[in-house]
Amino acid sequence: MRALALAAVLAAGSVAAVAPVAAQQGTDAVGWLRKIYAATEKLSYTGTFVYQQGEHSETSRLTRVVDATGVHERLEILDGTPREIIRFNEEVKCYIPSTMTVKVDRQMQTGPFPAMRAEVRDFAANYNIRKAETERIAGYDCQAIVLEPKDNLRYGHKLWADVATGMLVKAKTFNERNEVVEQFSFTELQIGGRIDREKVKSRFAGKGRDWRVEQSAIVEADLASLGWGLRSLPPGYRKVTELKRSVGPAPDVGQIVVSDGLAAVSVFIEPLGTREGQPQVGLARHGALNVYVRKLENHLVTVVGEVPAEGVRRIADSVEYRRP
Amino acid sequence: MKERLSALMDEELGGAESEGCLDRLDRDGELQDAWRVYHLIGDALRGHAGHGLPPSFADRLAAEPTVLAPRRAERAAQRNAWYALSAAASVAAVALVGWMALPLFEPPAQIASSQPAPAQATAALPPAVVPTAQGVNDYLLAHQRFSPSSVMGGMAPYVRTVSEAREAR
Repeated sequence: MRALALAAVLAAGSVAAVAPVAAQQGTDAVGWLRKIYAATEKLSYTGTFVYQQGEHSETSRLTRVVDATGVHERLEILDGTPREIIRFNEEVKCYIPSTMTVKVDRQMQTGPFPAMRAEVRDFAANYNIRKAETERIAGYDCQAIVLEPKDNLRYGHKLWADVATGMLVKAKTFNERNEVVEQFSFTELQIGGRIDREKVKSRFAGKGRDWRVEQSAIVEADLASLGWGLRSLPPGYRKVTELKRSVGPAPDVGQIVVSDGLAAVSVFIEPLGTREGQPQVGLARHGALNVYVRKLENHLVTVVGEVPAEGVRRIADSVEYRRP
Repeated sequence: MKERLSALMDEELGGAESEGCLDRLDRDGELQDAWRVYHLIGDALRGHAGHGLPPSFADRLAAEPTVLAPRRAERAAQRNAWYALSAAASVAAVALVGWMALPLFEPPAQIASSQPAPAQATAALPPAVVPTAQGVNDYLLAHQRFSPSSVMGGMAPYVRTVSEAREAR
């Protein structure tokens, strides 16, 4: 009976006319999401967080400095082999010392990605959003926000944001069985204040010339003119952009990005045989990310997204080729 | 397996099952031979034997009266596309072994050969849990910046792209 009442409340939250109070709360929760987005854009911070997926957890240090020149970020993985990701505005460099490789990902457009501009209305159609309890995390009083998916094509999320600044301090992702798929949680965090600029500088950059640089070479593209398209996307997803780029050693990969406002899925299309070895079709999971690979018309279609297996599979199935 | 191959040729397999079958085909030389033979038989039955036959034999075969007129004549174009695909795939299988240090998608056969399950049932299946090799990380990195979660969490979600996590079950 209690469960039923709870379900009724949850359902009401999504239908404004039915229960004004619940709807009010929903709006408030949406306001919180906006606050999180805004905070992430403008705040400087430094801290240590733990990323957990399944049995595995990894500690990383994350520093972000926003100044007159833009956004500088550095993510350093502290467990296992050293790895580091440096971001300066739209350029992301990923240093992998074990292979002496630096992968450079540069976006052609400036400013934040359009789809990520808090299209809150967009994803309110796909999730029930509500405020939950307040909780103290890493020394900050946080407001919890719950996003429940309306179908099995996306994950559920619970976010904890600092009440004062809106900074995201903790995030959990749930699957359809309500199990935690992955979790990010700061254990120690300084928001604002003086942050040493050294903390956003790469410890690998400029050390010798032995690093192999892999440029991603992204350009906008019209994949439909090449015959590639998505036939019927699962409900709530729409196409956001399409590009041509390199992915690792493969030079000429089409990428179509679709999103439901909160989760994004990339469809990569490349001719078979550009990679060494035998590509294997099927499904793979990495934390909240699912990967589905299929072959189509002599091409390899790789679908990657932080959505459930069913979501990536459906999107992969929607890929079609029509001779242009 | 050969019955399934035959069923595949006759397009009697569901999507998942045919994927599985094609996947086996990729890796199994004997099956590839069988596949070619089935197609030769099929072509011969339809009176247009071509691929892989000596011209003289093909001519003689073409001169033979047609014994059967299979119902799937209109599917010839599609069948040929499949043939091309399988040929390319088998070449790939020969030439390219050991793509990455770790198998990218560990139990492909297991996933691919799963019964043609309805969508709801598929959703309930636990996805195959696999180690993540560098090759997959390339895709993850390429994807990550488009992820709206990156805006909310800043760079934090990027840890996925370089994570050393090896899920195992």
